[in-house]
Amino acid sequence: MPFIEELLNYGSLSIVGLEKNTGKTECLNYILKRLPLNKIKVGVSSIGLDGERTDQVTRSSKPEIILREGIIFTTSEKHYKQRRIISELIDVDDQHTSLGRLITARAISKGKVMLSGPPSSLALKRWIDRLKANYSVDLCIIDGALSRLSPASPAISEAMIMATGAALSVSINELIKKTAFTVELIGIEKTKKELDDQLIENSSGVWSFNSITGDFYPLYESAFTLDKKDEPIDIKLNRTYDVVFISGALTDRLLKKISSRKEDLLKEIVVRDFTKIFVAPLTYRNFIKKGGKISVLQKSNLIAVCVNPVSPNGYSLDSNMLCKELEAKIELPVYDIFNYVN
Amino acid sequence: MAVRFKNILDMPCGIRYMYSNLDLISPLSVSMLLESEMETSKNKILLLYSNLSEFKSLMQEGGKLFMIKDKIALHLSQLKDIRNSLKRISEGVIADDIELFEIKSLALINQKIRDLLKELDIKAITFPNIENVLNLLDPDQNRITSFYIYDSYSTELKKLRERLKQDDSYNEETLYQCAIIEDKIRLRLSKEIKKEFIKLKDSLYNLSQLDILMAKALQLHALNLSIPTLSLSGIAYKELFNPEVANILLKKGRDYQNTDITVNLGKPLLITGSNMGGKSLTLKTIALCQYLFQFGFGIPAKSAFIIPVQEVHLSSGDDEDYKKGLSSFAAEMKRIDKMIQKINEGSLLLSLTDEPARTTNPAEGQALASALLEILSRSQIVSVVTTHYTIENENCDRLRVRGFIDGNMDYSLISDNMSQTPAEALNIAASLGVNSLWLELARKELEKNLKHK
Repeated sequence: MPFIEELLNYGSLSIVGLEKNTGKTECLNYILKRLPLNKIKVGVSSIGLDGERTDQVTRSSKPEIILREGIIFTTSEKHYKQRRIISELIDVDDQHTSLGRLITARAISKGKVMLSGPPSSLALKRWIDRLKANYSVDLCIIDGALSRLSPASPAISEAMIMATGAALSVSINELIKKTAFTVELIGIEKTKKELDDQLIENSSGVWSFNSITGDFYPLYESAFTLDKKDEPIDIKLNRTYDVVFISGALTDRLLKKISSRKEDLLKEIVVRDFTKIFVAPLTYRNFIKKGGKISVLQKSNLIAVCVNPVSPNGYSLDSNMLCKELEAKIELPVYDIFNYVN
Repeated sequence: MAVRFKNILDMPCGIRYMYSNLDLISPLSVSMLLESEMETSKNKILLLYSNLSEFKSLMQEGGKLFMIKDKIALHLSQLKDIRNSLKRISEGVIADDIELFEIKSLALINQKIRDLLKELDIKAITFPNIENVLNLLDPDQNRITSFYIYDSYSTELKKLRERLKQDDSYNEETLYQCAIIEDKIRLRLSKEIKKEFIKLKDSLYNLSQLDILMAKALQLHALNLSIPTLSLSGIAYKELFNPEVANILLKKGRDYQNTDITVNLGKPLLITGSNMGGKSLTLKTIALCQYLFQFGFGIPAKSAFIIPVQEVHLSSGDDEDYKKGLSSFAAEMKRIDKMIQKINEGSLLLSLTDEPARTTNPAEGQALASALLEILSRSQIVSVVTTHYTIENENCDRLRVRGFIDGNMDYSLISDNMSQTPAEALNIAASLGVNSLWLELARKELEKNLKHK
């Protein structure tokens, strides 16, 4: 059975879909069904709102999450009331989400739930810590999202499984290209420089950082308001630095700006995690080719890619060919989960 | 309209410092305190302080409650605000699992704290025995914070669930049958709990009161506060201090100079004295103490005699009136007018007016201030006025800031018989190091004026 054994080495796992209907939920159910619950304790939740019974966009049916006895799950008050499972309520969190407070419970029977969860990266991290400390959970699984703009990043988990498929593109070439680029971004190395905690706490701006002296200064106010003519702040002060830290998003425009300035090109660009990179493949490759270096603060270990060869409008790709070609390109195991589901 | 604690938090008298210094454990206690009303009746205030006195000795270092305060804090930290859930159940709504979980948690906390306090024989707070609610929601006697409709509620349910577990595939029909039985059990539980509603409500209230009283007693010891005595003839403080300012000074390595002050009912107190002499601070501290008194906190003075009043009126210069589009003079006039209106209605007020009519020309300003003092001396209220104007009024007590002695400011208040206010403004300005030419010219102007007279 693919990758189940490997999961036992990790404390947290997120499952992300590159697009809606790429089979993320099937993938999650596949894992939940097969994890050896006699060996480890499992907790599961989602990033923000997820787990609608029908897909809100395409109206196609969407499988619910199926839990087994003993699994601990966290969901919102609203979804807890709609559960179709016998479960023991063990915690009510004071933090409110748009669907009410977060409820943590232990499944007593087999059954189905809709998951919604902590709405931010920080809350998600706290959730993992709490489950491990209070209920001695070994593996926390996060039903994540990539295609949606979410303040919570799946990159905080130790391991990651990515779902891709025909919903992203019906051309195998295009699909492989897009998937491979995301895999490349997920694989960006963690920075070896030790950044200042205060710098990391800043929620916006582009900063210069000197990893020897520990000094940091703002370089640009924001990546979004950046104009072509904009010069870095206080450029005349001639400060020396070796790291450019981007607190928010690394946009195309910002990366081009950095590439165009010789002195910045050779610095190490540090972003929080790969979900903060919004750069076209061409711009990214150009930058790397010129000798640029990007690293992340938080890196998740991508252990496998799952594909769903069927698109929501019924178009189907050749599963074997897709798996083989993708595997060759990204050098990671690729599975068509639907072949294993039954 | 009753004054609630949350209404006075931003009064410019420093009550927010006392609030943020209060170490409340449960968020429920925070909202209970913020929503609490200012007490105006003698008996209720006496009760507040007999409770605080009891907790004062229990919470002193080595006290019986002090020894177990961490254990109690652990339970209180799990206390949630479930007033809405309780209200719904009292109205006959069938509780869902989340509400039943909340009630079970409350019952658990109540019983645990009740056990912890059993030996202490505390008179201020007693906790109801809600063992029966706990037994109802914990039929298996696990005594842990978790809830579901347990198998032991119904043999039928137990059988269905066993069948459900045996089935390898997911059986919607059996689950549905379970749900019907579960709903019947929830109805039964809700009815049972409704009968104990009063006890549960008391428990929730008393747990938050325990939290508040423990925090007030801890603050009393930490900030060196005292328990006041109820008075009917006015207010009298010995060694009064402002905790916030004292703390700031302490950080700078300086001492706070405590002051003694007495104000009699029906006889205004006029405080004069040099600038920077702490007059405004004294007024603010008196306002602070009055609020602390009527909300049952410790008082920042060595001893305190305080009369309960219906309202506190503090008129000081640093209100943000410009937001209402009023000039500082207009805002002040309206503020004082409102106060006079209250006096005419016969309310017993604490009226604190900082330099009335200071923002207008000296002749008219002096007249306005004198007239205000005349009104105050005719009314049965407790009032303090500070001023730089010379006011001749027989019917008021007078205190003066001792002022600059040998280059140092002496903040103590001494009784004063002169109606002439001291002239120290130029000396103080000089000690601040302001432009010497400016001061030189001012001195010449002053001499010229005196010659004219």
